[in-house]
Amino acid sequence: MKNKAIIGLSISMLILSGCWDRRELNDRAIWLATGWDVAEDGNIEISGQIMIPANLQTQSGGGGGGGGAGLGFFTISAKGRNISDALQSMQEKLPREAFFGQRRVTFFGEEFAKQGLKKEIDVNSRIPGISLRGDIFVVKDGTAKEILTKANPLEKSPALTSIKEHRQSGGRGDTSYVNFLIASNRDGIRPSIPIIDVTSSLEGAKSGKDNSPNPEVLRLAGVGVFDRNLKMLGALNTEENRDLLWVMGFLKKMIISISQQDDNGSNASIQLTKISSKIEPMFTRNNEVRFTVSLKGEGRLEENNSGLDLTDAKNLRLLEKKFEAEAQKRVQSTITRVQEEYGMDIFGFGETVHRNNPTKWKSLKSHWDETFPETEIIVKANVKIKQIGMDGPSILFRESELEK
Amino acid sequence: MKLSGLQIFWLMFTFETGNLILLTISPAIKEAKQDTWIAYLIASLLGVLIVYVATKIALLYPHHTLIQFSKLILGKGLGVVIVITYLFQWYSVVPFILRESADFLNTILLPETPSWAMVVPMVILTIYINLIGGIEGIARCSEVFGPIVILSITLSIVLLFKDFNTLNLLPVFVDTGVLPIWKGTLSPLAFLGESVIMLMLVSFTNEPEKVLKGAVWGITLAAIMGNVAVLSVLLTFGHEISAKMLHPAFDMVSYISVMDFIQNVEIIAVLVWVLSVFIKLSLYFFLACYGTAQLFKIINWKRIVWVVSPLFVILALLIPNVSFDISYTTKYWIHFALPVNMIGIPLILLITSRIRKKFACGQ
Repeated sequence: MKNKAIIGLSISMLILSGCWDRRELNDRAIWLATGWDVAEDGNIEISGQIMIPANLQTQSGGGGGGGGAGLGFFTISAKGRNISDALQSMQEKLPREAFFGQRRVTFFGEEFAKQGLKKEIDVNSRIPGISLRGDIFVVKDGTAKEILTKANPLEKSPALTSIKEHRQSGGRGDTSYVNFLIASNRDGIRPSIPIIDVTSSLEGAKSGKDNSPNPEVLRLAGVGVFDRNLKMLGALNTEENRDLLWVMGFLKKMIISISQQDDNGSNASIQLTKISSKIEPMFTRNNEVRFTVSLKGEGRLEENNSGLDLTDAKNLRLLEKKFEAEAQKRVQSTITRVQEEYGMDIFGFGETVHRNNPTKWKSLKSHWDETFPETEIIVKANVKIKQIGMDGPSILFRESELEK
Repeated sequence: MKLSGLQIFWLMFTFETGNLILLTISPAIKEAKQDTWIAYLIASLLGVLIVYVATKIALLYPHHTLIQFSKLILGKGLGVVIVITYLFQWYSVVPFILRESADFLNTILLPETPSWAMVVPMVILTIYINLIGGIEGIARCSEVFGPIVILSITLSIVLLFKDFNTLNLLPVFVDTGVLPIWKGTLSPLAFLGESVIMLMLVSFTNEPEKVLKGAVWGITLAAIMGNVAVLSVLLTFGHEISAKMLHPAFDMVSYISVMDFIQNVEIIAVLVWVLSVFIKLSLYFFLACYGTAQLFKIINWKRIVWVVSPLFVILALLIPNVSFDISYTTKYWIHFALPVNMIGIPLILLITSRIRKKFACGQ
């Protein structure tokens, strides 16, 4: 019996000691973000941002006075036929094995995106250990490699910066990649990817080097429009991006501002917090499709720089009307611009036909790219002011100046 | 070796759930698209029907296993043919499960570990539980593992709620139709139908009156878990991309991210799957050995273990690649085992035994 136990133990020692996939934490390079660019010779260039674990603690203690030595990351790049090829050459510069489990962001250089993503980025979902959850961005007027070197004074790494900016601005956030994949597989919607660029912290002023009060920062700069073959056609700006997100139903918060020309240029703003949208397809007699987009938003009034007394429901309705008109005008013009300039249905109008009139969609879907630019789309907006803040009328206006 | 009704329940549940969720979702979605949940509902109903019929037949001969009563019902020659059909299923499935678990772990967790290093310990564990505990040991194991499986699945699904998009399920029925949905039904049904092994298990119980309830509820619960899993996959990813993934349920769990804090929890999915696969493997292993012993009238079935296990290891290591695994499931499992082993033979047994009983009464 005792002998048997000893034999059993020694066999299990042989088999179970697991020497093959032993990975110590300090043998791993934690990879935060990947950048994709085109190289001159038709190959691609992959850049990666890698965390420096020793520099991570300074954030809580130093509060930003650490200087260049405290940078939480470094950037590395290599060229190759595809990412695996590039990674192999990159590993030769890297003392530790790259570990992709924490990768949360992917950047594509603008030129790379314009050449098309379809035949390049299979690896993102094929290799195990990377979650499908992740932000993706196209870098406007630049390369992903460059973006990955830009530190932000508040965050330890550009990867984190872009994720947090994305979340703050109420976009689609870390579901971007899955959204992109789903849209590229559907007939009734074309993919779109958020755009990021580099700008200076102070508008207009040339930014300084590290540690200057006007550093270079990353900025969300709109959204890129893609076609069926996943080639980027062009971009919409930030405001148009918000309109797009509102129509798509991704938007979580947004501020609408109006100026009242009739009132000596006074203005007002509303912070929308409860936002939704509904697209309804309709068919005319000769079977042409039309859409009505109903936008809804509720929120609190942030500013009212006029003499309107907001304790009066009539005046609130007046303001709401103006916000509605503004929202309607903006979204309508964004849709028209997309129709005229790109002709790609990045909003997903086709999908609503697919869902609501699936039989009619079968005849539409093959030539949707040709139909969409000609389609009539009507936008309606409905804005409700739920709170007005701490004042009734503006405190800066005299009793006699108030509009009742 | 005596099993209680409750043990049958946990045994059936744990035996089914892991592979049902990991392996059937993608092929089903490929066929039935956004209506796969309908396919799963149909598969669940039929699966429960299969286990009901199998248990009913076995209960006619509560003290005999399939190996013995198939001879009683159909006579010696046909009985042996039937037994061999089932033995072929059990003998072939064990190496495939072994290899598949090794391949999956290879892909997900241990890329450089050789297959044999995962296959051999698994087989040693299986031998251990069979020699020490027999069927009762496996059942007790499943009583421990079953609740863990339920808990992990429920937890993962709850964490995914915020990523669900109900629009992914629309439009219902128009894009697919009856035939695609039926095709989608086949792969989950072929796995739920494995519950036909109740033909063997009933003879090991000491509570024949509770067996039917235990088995039916066990499969029902497994089917519910399968339905919930497929619905969550559709709601999270939609049918287009999940049809192209090999293990969409696993990708779904790795997609979990709650407040940037609960992330990378895919190890839960691996846990559920390994526990469930262990039960499945040991059960088929037991059936293969015990069945062979009974067929050849060998009194001590445990001696067969030593002959059979090296065979399984060798067969498992001979399987060339993952695509071969997949074609085994689609070709043999769906096109042969499902219609013959899980539906045809039980029905023949049921009808013949009924006729025989009537005939006997008439005399």
